[in-house]
This record gives sequence, structure tokens and C-alpha cells, in this order.
Amino acid sequence: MNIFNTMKITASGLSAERIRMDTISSNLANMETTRTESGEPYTRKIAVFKAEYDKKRNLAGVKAIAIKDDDSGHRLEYDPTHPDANEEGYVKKPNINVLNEMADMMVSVRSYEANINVLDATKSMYTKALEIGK
Amino acid sequence: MKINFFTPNAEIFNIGNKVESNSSSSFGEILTEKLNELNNKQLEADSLTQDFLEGGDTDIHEVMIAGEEAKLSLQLAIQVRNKILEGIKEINQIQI
Repeated sequence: MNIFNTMKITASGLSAERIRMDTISSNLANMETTRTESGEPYTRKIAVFKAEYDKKRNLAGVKAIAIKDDDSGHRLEYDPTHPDANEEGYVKKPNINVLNEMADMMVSVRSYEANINVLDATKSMYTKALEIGK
Repeated sequence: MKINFFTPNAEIFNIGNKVESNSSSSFGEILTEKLNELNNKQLEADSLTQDFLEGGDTDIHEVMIAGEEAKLSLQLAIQVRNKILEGIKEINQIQI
């Protein structure tokens, strides 16, 4: 059992949470974006995580394999003065709820901190073991 | 040659030779190899730090974890050296 394997698993968790934070920041920055390159308003992005199994030991690290679009469509806001309004005066805006994103952000932060705690605990185990026979 | 109806196999005289030829690395080589691995860990930590400071694609936790790995490997090497020194001291104290 190698300590560096443990640290690799934790590192993969930390990287995945960083990517989730990136998607959350992208969503929050683009809350009111009505124009993208494809002509549609910005679609909410979701990071997809996948477990990377170590078959022998049945343990897994994690990897963010993709950042997918949320398929639930856009919301319509009535604003005839907006340059992107359609004939009835409605503007298509991204379907991003600030409260959802903030809750996701808090979960991501706690998960990051929990992974760092695991790292500290493993390191203190290792250092204590090095003191055997001192 | 028969001894009490038991014919020894001539192979038993070759076992010692076989063991020596299989272990091709001496203690010195193993030591150098492991010290090189240790040095590689230090260099990797260095290069990751450099990459991070230049604004590359590395995350801060990768830099920190590489630094920790290098530090822990060095501490393990120091402890191994301590144990070896203790052993040598013991052997030196054997009275003839």
C-alpha cells in the first residue's frame, strides 16, 4: 500500500472540484448572456465526473471527463427594449439560478477542503510511521 | 554414485552459482538507483513549481502535493540511512 497512491486519488478529487468551480464561475459570469457564437443564448454547463477504477484494489480516483450543456432550455424574459428581443418582445435568457449555483459552489468548496483533510491525515500517518523505532 | 539407495542429483551443486547470476544488481547499484529516483522526485517538484509560477496549466494543489512527495521521500531515505548506521555501529561493536 503506497502513500503516493493515496495522494494520487486525493489529487484527482481536488482537480475534479477545481473543474467544477470553473463551470460554476462560467455559469455565474454568463447569467445574462444572450449571444454566443452559435446565435443562441448561453446554455448552463455541467461538469460530468467519472470514477477511474484501480481494478486490483477496487478503489477509484475521479476524473472530470466532460463539460456538458444543460438541456432544459432557456427562460423567456419580457423586455422589448433589448436588442435581442423577438417580435413579441421576449428575450431568451440562460436558465441559470443564482441560488443553485451558490449551493453547488459551497458543496464544491467543502469537498475540496475535505480532500485536503484526507491528505493531511495520510501525511501525518506516514510521518508517525517514520518515527517507529526512534 | 549410490549412497544407501539414494542417488543425489548433481544439480544441488549448481544452486549457489544460479543465485549469484540472477541477482545482477549489487547493493551499490540499488542504492544509486533509489537515490536517482529520489532526485527525480525533487526535480519534478521543482519543474512543477516553475511551471506554476510562469502561469502554466498546473493547479496549486499539484505543486503542493509534488513538494510533499519529495519531502516525504527524503525523510524516508534519511530514516533508512539512520537504520543502516545503527546496524553498522552494532557490527563494529562485536568483540573478537
